[in-house]
Amino acid sequence: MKFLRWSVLIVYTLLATLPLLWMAVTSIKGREDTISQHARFIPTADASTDAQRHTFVPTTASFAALAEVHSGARHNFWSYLTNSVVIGALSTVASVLLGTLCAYGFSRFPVPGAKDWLFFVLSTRFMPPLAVVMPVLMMYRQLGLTGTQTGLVLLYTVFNLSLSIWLMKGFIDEIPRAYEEAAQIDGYSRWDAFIKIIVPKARTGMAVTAVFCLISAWNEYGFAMTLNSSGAITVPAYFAGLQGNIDGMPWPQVAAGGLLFVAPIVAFTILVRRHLLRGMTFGTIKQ
Amino acid sequence: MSHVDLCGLSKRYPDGNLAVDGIDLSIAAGEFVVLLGPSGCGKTTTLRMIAGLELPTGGSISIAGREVTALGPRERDVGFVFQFYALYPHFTVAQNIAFPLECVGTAASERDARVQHVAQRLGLLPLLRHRPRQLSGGDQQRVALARAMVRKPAVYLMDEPLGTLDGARRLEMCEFLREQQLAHGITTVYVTHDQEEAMRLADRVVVMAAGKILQAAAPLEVYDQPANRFVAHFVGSPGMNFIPGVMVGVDRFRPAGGAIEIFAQVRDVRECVLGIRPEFVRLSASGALPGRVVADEDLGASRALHVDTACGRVIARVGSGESGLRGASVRLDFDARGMRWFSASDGARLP
Ligand SMILES: Nc1ncnc2c1ncn2[C@@H]1O[C@H](COP(=O)(O)OP(=O)(O)O)[C@@H](O)[C@H]1O
Ligand SMILES: [Mg+2]
Repeated sequence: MKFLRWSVLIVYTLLATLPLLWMAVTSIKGREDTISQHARFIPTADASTDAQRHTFVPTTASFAALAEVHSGARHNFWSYLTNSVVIGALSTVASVLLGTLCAYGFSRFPVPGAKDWLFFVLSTRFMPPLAVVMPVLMMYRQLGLTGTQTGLVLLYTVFNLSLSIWLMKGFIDEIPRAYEEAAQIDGYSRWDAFIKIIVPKARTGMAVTAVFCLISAWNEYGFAMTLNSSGAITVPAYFAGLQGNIDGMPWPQVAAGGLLFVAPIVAFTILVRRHLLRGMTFGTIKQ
Repeated sequence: MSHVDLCGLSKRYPDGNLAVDGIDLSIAAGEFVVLLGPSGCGKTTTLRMIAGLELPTGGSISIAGREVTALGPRERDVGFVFQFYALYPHFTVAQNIAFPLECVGTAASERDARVQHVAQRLGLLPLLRHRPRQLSGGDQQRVALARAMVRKPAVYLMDEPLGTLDGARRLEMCEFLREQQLAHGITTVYVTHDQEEAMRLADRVVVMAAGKILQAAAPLEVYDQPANRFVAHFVGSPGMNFIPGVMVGVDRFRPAGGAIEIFAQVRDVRECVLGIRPEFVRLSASGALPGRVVADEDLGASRALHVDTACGRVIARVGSGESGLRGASVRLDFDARGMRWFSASDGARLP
C-alpha cells in the first residue's frame, strides 16, 4: 500500500515537474542547442561537434543576457519583471484589503439587498474578461491610463475584487460575532475590534485570497498586451511580444526569464501554504 | 438607590420573534440579581440589551443614573461573561485577561499585577501561557470570568457562566462568585436556567417565561410564595404538586376525583388549584388520601416518592431512610402550612 502510494506520487511529481525541468535545462543551453534537430539535454563538460549528439555544454550566458535589451524590445527583462512585481503586488494587496473590508460589511451589517449585491458582485465574473477589452481600452485612452502601471493595477484589482469578496465573506462568516462583541465590551471600538480580532483570525483566509489574486494578476496576458503595448508591459506580454522578431525567439533567455518569473509565485505559495497548514491544525495539535 | 433600570424593555427580532415583552426591573446598587427561566424565555436577549449588544425595540435602559438605551457597549462600562466564553483564540490566557486593561492604557506593570491577582483567585496561574483551545470548557469559562473581573465595571453581566462546569466545580464557583460579590459589591445580573444556582447566588431571583417577568423576589419568597403555577413548578426540585378541584361551601376544597375535602381559605372562586410542595406531603397511617407508590427517587439527603392517587400523581419528599417503598400502598396527608392556592383559569396565586 505504502509502495503503491509512493510510486503514484513519484510518477505524478515527475510528470508535473517535467516542463519545469525542461525549462531549467533550456535556460543553461546555448541558442544552437535549443533549436537543434536532436534534443540535447545531457550537460557535459567537453564540446563535441557531432550534430546527432544529445549532449550540450552548460552556460549561464542566458541569465547574463537578460540584462541586455533584446532587439525589438525597449527595455531589458528586469524592467519588465519589475512591472510584473509592482502591478501584481499592488493589485493583490488592494483587492485583498478591499475585499476583506467589503466582506466584513456584508457579513456583519444588515445591508439592504445584501443577497442581490453579492450576486451582482459575482455576476461581474460571468463574462470572459476579454470581452470588454475594447471598451476598457477606449476608456483608458480617454483617461490616459494606457501604458501605465496604475492602469493595470486598477484593472486587476477590480477583476479580482469579486473573488476576494466572496472568499473573504466565507472566512469572516466563520468567525463568531461573539469575539467582536467581547472586544466591544472590553472597551474597543468596532474598528479596533476589526483590526485586533477579525484580521488576525481572518489571516488564513487573506493568505489564500492573496494567492489566488496574485496568480491571476501575475499571469494575465490579454489586457496587459492590449492596454500596455506602449509601456509598462508585464513579463507574459513581453515574452509573447518577442515572437516573430528579426532575431527569432531567444529561447535560452525566455527559459531563464520564465524560471525567474515562476520563482516568486512558487515561493509565495510555499510561504502561505505553511501558514495555511498552521492555521488549520492549530486547534487539534496541542503544543 | 436603583443602579440598573429597565423600563418597558422589549425586543422583537427582525424575524418577528418577540423575545422580550415589555419588562420592568429596578436593580439596586450592589445587588446580585439572577434571571431564571427555561431555555428560550429571553434571558440572554435581556442581558445583551443591558450590555448594548442588542438594541431594544421598545423601552429604555439606564445604568448608574445615565440613560444608555442608544449607547454602544463600550460606552456603558459593563463586564460581560458570554455563555460560550468568546475567548480570543489567538491570544494566550494572560493576554485574554489583560485585553480589557490594554484598551484603557493601564501601565504594563499594573496590568501584569492585576492579571496575576485575578488569575490567582480563579486558580488560573498554571494556565496563563496556554491558548484557549488547549483548555477544557470549565477552564475556559473561568478565563472568561477572569477577563470580566479584571476590571471593575459598573455592572457585571453573566450569561450562564457556570453552564459547562460539573457538580463540585460548580458549587465551588458559586461560592467564589458569592464571596466576590459580598467583598466588592458590584451589581451583577446573572442568567441561568438552573434554579439551584439561582437560589444559591441571588439576592433577588427574577423568574421569566416567554419574554415576561413572572416574579422578582428573594429566593426564599419565590420558593415559598410563588406568584403563579409556572413559578411554583419551575422553582424547586421536584416541583410543586398541583391538584385541581372545586370549592364546596365557604372553606372546603374538594379535589377532582378525590373523595376528600380540605380546609381552604379561598374566597370568591369556585374552581381552583391546590399547590403543595413535596416536603409538605406526609406519609401517615391516618392520612386522608390513599395511593400507591409507583416510583422512588433518591435525592441524596431525601427521597421523592411518586404516588398515584385518585387526585392524580403526587410527589412526596420523605426522609432518606424510607427506602423500598415502591409498590406499597400508602396514605398521604397535606400539611396546611404548605398549601398554596392558584386560579384555575390563569394560574395566578390566589391571595
Ligand atoms: N438573533 C436572533 N434572531 C431571532 N430570534 C432570536 C435571536 N436570538 C434569540 N432569538 C429568539 O428569542 C427567544 C429568546 O432567546 P434567548 O434570549 O436566547 O433565550 P434564553 O437565553 O432565555 O434561552 C428565543 O425564542 C430565540 O429563538
Ligand atoms: Mg441563553
